Amino acid sequence: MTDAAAIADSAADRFGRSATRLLDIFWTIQDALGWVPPEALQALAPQLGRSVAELRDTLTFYHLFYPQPTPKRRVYVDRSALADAAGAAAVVAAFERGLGVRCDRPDADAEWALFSAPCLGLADQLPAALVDDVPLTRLDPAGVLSLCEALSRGEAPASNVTNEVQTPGPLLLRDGAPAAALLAQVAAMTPEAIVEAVTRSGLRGRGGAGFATGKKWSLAAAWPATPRYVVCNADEGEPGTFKDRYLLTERFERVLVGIIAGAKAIGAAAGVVYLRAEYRYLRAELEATLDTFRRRGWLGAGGGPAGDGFDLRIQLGAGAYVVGEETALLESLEGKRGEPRVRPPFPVERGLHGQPTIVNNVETFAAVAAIIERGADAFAAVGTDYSKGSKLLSVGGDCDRPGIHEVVWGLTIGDFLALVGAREPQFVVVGGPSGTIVAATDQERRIALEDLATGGAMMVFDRRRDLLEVVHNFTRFFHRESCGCCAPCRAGTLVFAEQLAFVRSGQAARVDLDRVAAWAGIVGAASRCGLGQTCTRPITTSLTALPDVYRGRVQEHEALFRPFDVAAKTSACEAAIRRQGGLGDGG
Amino acid sequence: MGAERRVVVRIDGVDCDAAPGEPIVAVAARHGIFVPTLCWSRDDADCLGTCRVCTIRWKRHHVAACALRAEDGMDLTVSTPELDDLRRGVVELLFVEGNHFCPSCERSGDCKLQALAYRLGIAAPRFHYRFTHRPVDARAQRLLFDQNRCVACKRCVQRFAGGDGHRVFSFEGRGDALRLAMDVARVDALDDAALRRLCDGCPVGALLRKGRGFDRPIGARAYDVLPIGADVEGARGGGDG
Repeated sequence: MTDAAAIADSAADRFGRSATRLLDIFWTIQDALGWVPPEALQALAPQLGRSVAELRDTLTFYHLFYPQPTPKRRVYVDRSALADAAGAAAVVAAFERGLGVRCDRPDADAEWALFSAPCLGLADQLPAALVDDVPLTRLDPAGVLSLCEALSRGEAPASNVTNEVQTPGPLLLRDGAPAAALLAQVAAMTPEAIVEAVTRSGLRGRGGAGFATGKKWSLAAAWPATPRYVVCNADEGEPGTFKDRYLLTERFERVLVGIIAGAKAIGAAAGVVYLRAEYRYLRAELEATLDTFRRRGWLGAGGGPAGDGFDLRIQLGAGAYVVGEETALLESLEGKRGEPRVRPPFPVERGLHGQPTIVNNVETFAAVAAIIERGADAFAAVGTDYSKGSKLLSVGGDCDRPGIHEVVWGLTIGDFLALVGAREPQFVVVGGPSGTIVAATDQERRIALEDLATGGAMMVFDRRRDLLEVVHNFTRFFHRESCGCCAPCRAGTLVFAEQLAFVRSGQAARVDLDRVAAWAGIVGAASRCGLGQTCTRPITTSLTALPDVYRGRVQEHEALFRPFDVAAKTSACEAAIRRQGGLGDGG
Repeated sequence: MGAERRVVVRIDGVDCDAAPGEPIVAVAARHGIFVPTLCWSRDDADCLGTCRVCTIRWKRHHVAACALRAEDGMDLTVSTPELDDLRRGVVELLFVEGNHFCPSCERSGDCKLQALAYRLGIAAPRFHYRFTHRPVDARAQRLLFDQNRCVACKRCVQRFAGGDGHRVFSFEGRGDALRLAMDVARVDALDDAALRRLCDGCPVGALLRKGRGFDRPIGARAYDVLPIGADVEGARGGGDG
């Protein structure tokens, strides 16, 4: 038996020979070998009851699995629009020089591989990179070169991530009661009382879509099937956001209180925290906290506050933005390609393994802890009529106070820019690439689910920045992250990335902008899931917010760029035919 | 039948009776209303809705009519200039991402993609052709797999298992690099009837039985005789020819 086959065998054993744990099995193999070789798949196939082709179906879906020989030691450099504005290109060049490799062209024989990543969740401390899974921030080319020297001497990289809370708000970031006290409250509440409190608080999902959390929980609780599951979506993939990283690092106990409350509310048998692979460095701490909870009898055997031995495990993702969509996340949790499901049925009826499941964002669970501590009425007392409570914003870009800000829903753009200390702002990206680009002069727009919705990403760009470079970055992001499952998104995301390059080249005419806007209407409306439905928003919202920027970049000489018009070219001929009384029927 | 509960769905102003939960595409077809489809088939209880050609309007939403289930009181819109153009756009995207040379294709006249292009009046796509390299795979003994024509509808992946229960086709990669992958040994192990079902299930000319390409002459094929949808509209006693 080859090494790879032996490693694959033991990986399969470790995860109960269950194909639903395929991501864990692939990670185990890749951690040992640097990639997942064909011999490993051959060995896995009979163990898991899958064909090799079926295993590759999952393996090749995820960016961070390597089905071809790849060096074990890897650097991922953040190339989000914010990172590029902060000088990420020079950082990549320095890594290329320091490690002697080319970015995104891995050489199997090299010691290191260097890749660009869409966003590492470090938008307040850019430029940033993951080196051997260790996050390094505030990089500059000189620092990268000395880092590479240190690495070659055998030194290990050390994380320098900081968690800056710039604005502690009224609900989520105030020092609160310890987990023990909150869990005692949960234990004293009936499931119905938990659902009632969450419903009355008006809490809406914090991942961005804004579905009413109480409604979701009551639907799952009422669906007549068991077991039920609770899933915490920690696949924080929207470029620009990092507030879940903060919550997982600094306030994970409160997140767990929310998860346990959710589990009790719906009568869940088990739960999963789906952690994005880029946050792998957080995992050991998270596991340690789970162990503490188990030791104290709050999770696992013995019947904690959620009852019935409810326990949690952490599932590591493998690099796929689309998995942030809840049904794609469930597919991924079952060891499959992370393609969104057809809805209905919704996860509250048929979710994980076809059972009733609630999927909620990390911050949503943290908000539930706040509701339990302070009461539904206190929670509902702030915010707007539609968006109750407060929201964590992940602020990055051209401002004096990047970091975490807890704000009350309804904050205007003008007040937001003052709060974060933006100087000469040009535009703000609210909610990341899938959100809204709004001009800094649009001071009265409100950060709220009913106006400018956001899952937390807030990118500030000042007058020096090129809007079209940012939009182009976003269109390339969607092209890279489209799962390919439906036709409009698969083919359309590439069309938009190319059109933005075309407009940036200065050769486009005004009619090209009209066309792009029309095409955006088609792809946005026809796509199967949220990714395709929002992939055109960078273009459509920026065309609306800052039309002059586009106008300045296209040719005015429309006649030169007019498409070939068949009717115009043949009209004289057609008229002549008509004068002759038509073509007749030959002969 | 009479004892079963029925619901009424309004489609383009026509009240249609339906079984609760019946796919809207099927409801419309029974009432002589053609909703263009590509990846849907009458036999599919649960269509994955991957091609999006059947996109219609329901309230403020655009939805795939293949995956939408009938509920009483639904008011749906199939045909407007905007929706017709949307469907045309989606079909054009399929044309530009693959390499579809209809005149040389064995499936010409039986291909739903080609038939939709004619039906929707596509003379030339508004998008640039991609001309991507897509190999033809002739390794299987009795099946020719032409990647150029694949529209990644996923029917052969989802609906078709070999005798041992494993899939004969799967996906590789993602996004615009997504490709269908053939499990040659499992395709070769299929009996003739299964192979025929597999190839007939392909809405385009990507999966072909070898040596059968021109069994029926061009000119005598389904859509050579009647445009796609004409059968549905004929049931209404009309249609636009």
